Amino acid sequence: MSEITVTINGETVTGNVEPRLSLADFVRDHRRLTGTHLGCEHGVCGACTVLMNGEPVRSCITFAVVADGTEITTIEGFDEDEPMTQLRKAFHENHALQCGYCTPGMLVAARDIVTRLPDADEARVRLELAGNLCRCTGYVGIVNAVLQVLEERRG
Amino acid sequence: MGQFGIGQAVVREEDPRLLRGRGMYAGDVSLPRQSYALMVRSPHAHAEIRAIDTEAARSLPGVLAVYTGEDVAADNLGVPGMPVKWTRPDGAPMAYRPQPPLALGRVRYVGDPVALVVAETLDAARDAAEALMVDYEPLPSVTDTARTVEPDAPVIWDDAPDNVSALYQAGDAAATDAAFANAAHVVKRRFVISRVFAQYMEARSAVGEYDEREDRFTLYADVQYPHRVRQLLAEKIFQVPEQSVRVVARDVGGGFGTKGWQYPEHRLTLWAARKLGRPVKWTCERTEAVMADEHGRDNVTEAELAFDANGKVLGLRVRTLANIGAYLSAIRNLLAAYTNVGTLVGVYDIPAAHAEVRTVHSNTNLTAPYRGAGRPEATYVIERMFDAAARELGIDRTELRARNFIPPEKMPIRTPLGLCYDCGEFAANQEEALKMADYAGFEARREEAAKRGKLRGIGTANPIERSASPSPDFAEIRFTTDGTATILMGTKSQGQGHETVYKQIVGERLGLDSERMRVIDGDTDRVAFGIGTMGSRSTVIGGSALYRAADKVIERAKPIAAHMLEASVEDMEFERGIFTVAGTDRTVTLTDVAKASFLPARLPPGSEPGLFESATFAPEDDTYPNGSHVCEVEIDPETGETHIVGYWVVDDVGVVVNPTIVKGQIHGGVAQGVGQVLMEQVAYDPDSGQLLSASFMDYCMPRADDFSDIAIVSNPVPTARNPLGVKGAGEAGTVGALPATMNALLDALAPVGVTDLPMPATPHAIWQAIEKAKTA
Amino acid sequence: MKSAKFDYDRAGTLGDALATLGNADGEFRVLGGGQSLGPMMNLRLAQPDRLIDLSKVAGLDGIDAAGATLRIGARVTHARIEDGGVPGETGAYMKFVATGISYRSVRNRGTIGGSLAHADPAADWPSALLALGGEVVIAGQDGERKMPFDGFQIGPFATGLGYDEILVAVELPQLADGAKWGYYKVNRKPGEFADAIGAVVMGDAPRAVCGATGSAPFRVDAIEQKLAGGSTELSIAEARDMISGHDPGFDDYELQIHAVALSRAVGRAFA
Repeated sequence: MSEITVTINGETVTGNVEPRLSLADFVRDHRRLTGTHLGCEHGVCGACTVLMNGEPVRSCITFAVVADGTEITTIEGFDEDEPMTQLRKAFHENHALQCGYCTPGMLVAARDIVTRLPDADEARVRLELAGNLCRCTGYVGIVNAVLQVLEERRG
Repeated sequence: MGQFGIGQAVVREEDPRLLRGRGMYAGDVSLPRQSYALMVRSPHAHAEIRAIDTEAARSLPGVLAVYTGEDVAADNLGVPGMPVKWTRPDGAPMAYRPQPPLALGRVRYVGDPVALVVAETLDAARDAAEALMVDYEPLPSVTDTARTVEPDAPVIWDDAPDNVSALYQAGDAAATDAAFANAAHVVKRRFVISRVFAQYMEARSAVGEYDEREDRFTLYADVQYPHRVRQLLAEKIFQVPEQSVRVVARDVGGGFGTKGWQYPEHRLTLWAARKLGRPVKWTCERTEAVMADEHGRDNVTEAELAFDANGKVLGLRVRTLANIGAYLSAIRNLLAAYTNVGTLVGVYDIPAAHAEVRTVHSNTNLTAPYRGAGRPEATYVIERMFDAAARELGIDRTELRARNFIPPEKMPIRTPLGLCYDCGEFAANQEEALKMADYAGFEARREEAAKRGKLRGIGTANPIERSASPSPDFAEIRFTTDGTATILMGTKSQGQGHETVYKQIVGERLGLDSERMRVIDGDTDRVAFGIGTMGSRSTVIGGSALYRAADKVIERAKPIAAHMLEASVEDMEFERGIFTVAGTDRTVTLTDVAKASFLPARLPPGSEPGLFESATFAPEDDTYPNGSHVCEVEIDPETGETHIVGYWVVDDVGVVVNPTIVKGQIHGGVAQGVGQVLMEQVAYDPDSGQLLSASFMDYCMPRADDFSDIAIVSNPVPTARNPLGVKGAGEAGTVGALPATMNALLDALAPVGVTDLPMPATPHAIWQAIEKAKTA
Repeated sequence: MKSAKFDYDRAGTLGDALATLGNADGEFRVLGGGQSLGPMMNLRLAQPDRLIDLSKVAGLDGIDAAGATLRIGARVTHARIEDGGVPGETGAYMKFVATGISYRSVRNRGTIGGSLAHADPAADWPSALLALGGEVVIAGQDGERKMPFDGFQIGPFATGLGYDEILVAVELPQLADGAKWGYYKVNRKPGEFADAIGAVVMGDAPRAVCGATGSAPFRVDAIEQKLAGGSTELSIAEARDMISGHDPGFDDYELQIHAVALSRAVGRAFA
């Protein structure tokens, strides 16, 4: 077992974890933050995407021990975040979610796009979103939502 | 139209919680003292189990139990049962071959459950699973559908050496033979429709709990049919009264038909929970899901279409081998094979048709409904036949279709395969779709692409699907003392947006605002009855039941309103939530009536307090959503890579309750259909029967950059078969997408001589087809 | 879908990490960003006994362009390279390559050193850097040594790195401004591992690499000679001829897409 200290959604927590525990299981099972979803557990679908030190990472292939000393933001930790507030509104307005299972990871990836690539066009948005699988929407609403927020942020 | 009614593109009620990560999926359920279960599955496609040594596994720390088939058999759990009685080609009855929840003696596909390990932690369960010693004697296996019926094919069931389960026939063979005898031209083709898997983003979970005090089971699981699961578990499996089982499904991360009612893990977690006196949680792993769950499609079809000299169809003959997998466990395993054979004639006026389906066993997972459940297969056959015929006859594909559409004035029409289509504007759908896609201008686009070295193609399809088949569903509206309404539904949303749609229906009928309503589904203790969500039936049947319940609310509230307004019941008018005394300005809201209904002093003498109404609805016949799809693709002939450059849909799902939600259903359906044609496949090694596509690395699915926008226009023709006029929208997109996409690929490749492609048409397959055509 | 059990060391210094490796009594593996090893461990395709995490080791994440060669620390992430962290024309080439590696959430963690040491045949850096030329810098029990990219990767998941050595940096040539380069991947899905890679860099001498081969990437002499002779085009048919002799077990389609990748890489270089 290894002791780790991680700041999750602003709260600093300490835990004793087995090295093989993934960051995703740490937030889901140890912290009961079940908004982080496990879609594939081999880094392909993106459902488990969270922010580590402000950058999106896949929590299913990141061991919790490796997250020691980092700041993690899960989908539950964005309620005061401006780009996320814009994205949630846009996802809502553009029917960018159906079953909602890919949504937390999709939002974290989308937040990265609108903050890092302010000039992205549709082709770039589609390319950047390609790391997150959605089985319900055909991506139409998701792409439109991200484009809408990019437009809003460009003012 | 009011604030919140039918036809409005209102945003979804479900979104706020899901956007904030506050959903509650089955895998999020954790119960006090829960233990963790892991299924040990067969690594062989076909094998005798010589022995299972559980000792080493049992003795590991944290292991609570290791169960095998014998343990389950000792407790005499029942089987799901088979209500339909088909026959084999030789006239003998179709054998019922239920899958044991844990194998007894033999395993018949990679993934067939062999043992259940329960431990204090999942890691401990996994360590135990690895320590379990199973001695297998491998047997020859067969996974390929066409191969199952070859004389020397390995045999799955000793008493059926031909591997055939049953033969189903529809239509009139003699009349069809006569039609072919008179034909000026006959087109013949063979189609192989691949085996795919739903791959919902949320893999399945089951948390079983047994309450000794109440002698009662509770199952938390992501199922589409909570009441049906309860009925099966109570009546068939555990043989206890239905009230002794509760099934709860909250947010469900996609279902697409495949989150069925008969999965072994449901009964096993409950059974183990009772034995151990602790809740048992099982969560399917992603690489386990393709082994654990039912698959979709998988058939081989030979079709013949007879034409007269003017391009008018005279007859259709279809012979299909449908691969149902290793077992025949529940009627689910037959649904795709049989129930949608009727739509093989498509939207066309075909005088004579005959279809026969042979269901065959193989060393594969059981097949069952997956988005469309036979409908995409049927539409695929007829729409590919029209493209093939058009090429052979030298007539434009869309013109040949237009010559054969069933005109609106001919409906209702009984088709030669036995279904009764009631309405639809098939010619208008196609016309509009071709206009949207600028079909007339396509050749210029093809030439422009050719200059860039690309092969561009356009394909069309006119899908029709048999939806919302006659079976009941349930709705209840319960008012509380503050006048707010709780809506309880027997259907179960898996992401379709039912909460929103049902509120719109009640909003329309009763004039209640969204905030004054709450929708509950997925709990057999709270909802009195239900069948569930499948076959595009929820809005059609659940929505109609709800509409009727709302009518009952009005009828029940009317005398109370009249009493409150000191008027006669006959003078009461109701609109948008307000009772008015006819010809006056005296009004009372339904909300106030509901509040008053709980106060005996305010009720007419002799009335019963409270306001609760329920209704069921069972349509008398199916509905027929239909439409027209156009797909445009570009192929890089040097690599075989395909890009979808345009997709257009005209859809008739009847009355549209929420246009945004309907579009979302079609978008997602199209993506799954395109996915099957271009990349998705459950693949087996033909020699060993090993599963080759268990992970997301091997099972390829559409991503955002595989698609263009998908443009949709509605052409709603309301059906009279339910009070709402709706036809169902859940499967429409997929049904059209399979043939439209494949027809587009073949159109792109026609100039280089390619006439057929396998499914999925991967870059590799396309490049090979091009090379083969070059040398031919 | 969880990893098998393993022990974990968070190395404080490179010396600690090397000492642990030197005393290895099982399969010990160095953990960089873990973006390749993580999935393999979850799929139980890799079951190391111990992971040695380099994330806290100082001095592995520098980018130094001061000298004649460009030195990039092993722990530099793909994302940092994508964001322009490497200067000059070499940086422009590497930025292009990095942008096409998997997805951003993977690039944020995945490292250049980890990718090279892992040596997945379908990964980008082994092919891209072989085309660039240069050396890997390896720390061992007796100090540092360097090994040219030519010959570093010897097969699928196999390199010249010893079990008790750690790849600490790469040293790369600084391309002249405006130097020509082209990189082309054929893959079933953008962002996923390549089915074929073509990489062409016109440095001091032309280098052309055929990658994602199922084994180690290889240089194609015939293409290099053609480019050295002043050609600026390579047809697919020529490319097929030139790589078919290498006989890396290509089937017809693999031969084709590798030829396409090389042809298009040349096309991009001279576009």
